[in-house]
Amino acid sequence: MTGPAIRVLVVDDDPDHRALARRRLTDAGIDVTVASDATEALGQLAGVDIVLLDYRLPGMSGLDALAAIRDRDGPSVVMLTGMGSESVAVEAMRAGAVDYVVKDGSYLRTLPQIVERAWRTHDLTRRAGELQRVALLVTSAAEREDIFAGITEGARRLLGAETCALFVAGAEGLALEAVAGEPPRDEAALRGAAAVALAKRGAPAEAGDTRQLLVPLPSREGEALGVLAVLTEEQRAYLAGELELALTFASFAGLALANLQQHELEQSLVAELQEMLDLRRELVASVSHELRTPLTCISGFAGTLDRLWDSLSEADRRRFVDRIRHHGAELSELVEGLLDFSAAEAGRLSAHVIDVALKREVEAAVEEVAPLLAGRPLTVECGEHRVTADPTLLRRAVWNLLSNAVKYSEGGSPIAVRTLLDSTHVRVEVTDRGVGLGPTEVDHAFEPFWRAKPGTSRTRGTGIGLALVRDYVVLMGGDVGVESQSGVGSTFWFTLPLAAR
Amino acid sequence: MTTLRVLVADDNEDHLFLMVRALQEVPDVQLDIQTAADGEEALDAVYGRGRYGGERPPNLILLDIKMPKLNGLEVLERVKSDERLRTIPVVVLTSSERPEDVDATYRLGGNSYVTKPSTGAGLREGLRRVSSYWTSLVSLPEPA
Repeated sequence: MTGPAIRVLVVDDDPDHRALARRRLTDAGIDVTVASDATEALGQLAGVDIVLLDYRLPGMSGLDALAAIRDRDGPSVVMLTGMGSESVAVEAMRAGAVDYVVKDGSYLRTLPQIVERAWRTHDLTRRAGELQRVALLVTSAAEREDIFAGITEGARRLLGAETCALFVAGAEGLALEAVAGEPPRDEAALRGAAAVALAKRGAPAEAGDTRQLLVPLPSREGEALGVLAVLTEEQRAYLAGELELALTFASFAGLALANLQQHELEQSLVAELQEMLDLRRELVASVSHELRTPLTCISGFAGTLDRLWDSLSEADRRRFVDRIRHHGAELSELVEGLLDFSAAEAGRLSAHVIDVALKREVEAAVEEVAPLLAGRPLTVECGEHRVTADPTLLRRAVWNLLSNAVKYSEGGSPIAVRTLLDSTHVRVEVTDRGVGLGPTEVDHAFEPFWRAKPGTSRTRGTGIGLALVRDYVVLMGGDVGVESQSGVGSTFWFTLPLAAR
Repeated sequence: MTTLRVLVADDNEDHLFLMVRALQEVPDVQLDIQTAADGEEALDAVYGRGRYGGERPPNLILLDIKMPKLNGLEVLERVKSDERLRTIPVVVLTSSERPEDVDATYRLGGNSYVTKPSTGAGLREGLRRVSSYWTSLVSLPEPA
């Protein structure tokens, strides 16, 4: 006999019958407990496989006791009936008893065989129940943890094992997702064996050690999504039928897992789309704000000139025209940036790289940004380097870094531009003493629409400037980066390839 | 005709200039206009400290939202949570149309939310309306 012993509860009000039945069954290697009436029996059902139930009991009839036991969804019942009361047996079978025994002179002799036959039926029913439960998981909308627990608990009960562990294949190999029973003693070794089983797919691998059964979980397409490791304390020779059961169970579990993964993928896509929509909405709001601001100025100064031309001084007229030109340039910078951003998103942004004098483009950007500085001293240390670049994109890259430095620093705090040389590239750095970025923030700095927290609603802009810098520089064969410390300031930099001599 | 003190806070120098001009052109009211270029200056003006030292609080405050140091909503929150100042009407005047900003304005006790018109004529008309509403239709409480 492999596996744990059968556990039988004998319910009989006759002490002699109880004692005889117990001895006969115990001699046959079966675990026996006894009860003298139905109430006592109902309290002792845990862990019992088969109940031998006398049809005539004090207090409650055998049929009522049968119904009460069946309600507990636990053991199977074999009715013990007296000579000449076969009609009771028929009723008992209808009411769900798996078998009946007539208490004739020789029934004790055959009792172990009857119990084993009942146990086989009981076991089949129980395992069919496990298969049904795991099949239901396929279409269930349960949480990830509940599905994993359903699979591991189900497999453990199906195969009568102490432990069942579920490994799921992911980007970083097999992950131990759930365990029913005791945690595996050597997780790393088990994971290794599971990886071998995963690669082989095919039938359950017993891996030479019959304490360990490894069953791959197939997807609809037949590829293995994970591995169920079924562990027993004792050496265990699985029957062919049990391996069949394990495979059937695994195919349902595989489907449940595949559906779960599909569902999770869809959920994350939905979340991603929602985030994109939110960002779009934010972009539209900030772009309309950014467009309006210079428009109000242009229209305001033009209107003032128009209405009050004669009463305005020559100097005021000059100044107003200058403001109109300034805001016009700002608008055009904004529109160019938005067009580049949209072209880059669609993969249509292109760079026309030529041999360029770096210093000239840096100085042009510095000149363009001058009206925004509002008293911040700007120092420029730029070597006479020739780089391979698109002059327009290079100028916009520098302009955007400078404009970013202005936005995130106080009026009066210094900004510095400098260049550094290595054998193949020039690095252009813009350093500010502004709010700076924390260690987790630097990773996001070049993402479109991302903003440093202290900047929100105090800072103007569309949130695409640094993303554009990255797009421009990558197109020109360079790299971007940032070194920063919260509260101290930031150095944003990009590199460009040196022109061949 | 009594003179009303109006504080206009906006970090865009040109917007500030145009708004002050537009307010000066509003007929039938005598306005004493203070300006602030960021949220901290706005609070200095409200509390009569810094370069506004000794001045009395304004009768009406026009606030832009996006400003450095303290934004308009933060200034609004300070004013409305100060027992002495909370009766001063605050009009949030901004280019933003974000629903969150409108909600926040009223939640923090703002008295009105006006989207800055994008034309010069619209701006003048808008400020004329704001100003005549707060100066003619309601009588402004004198700050404590």
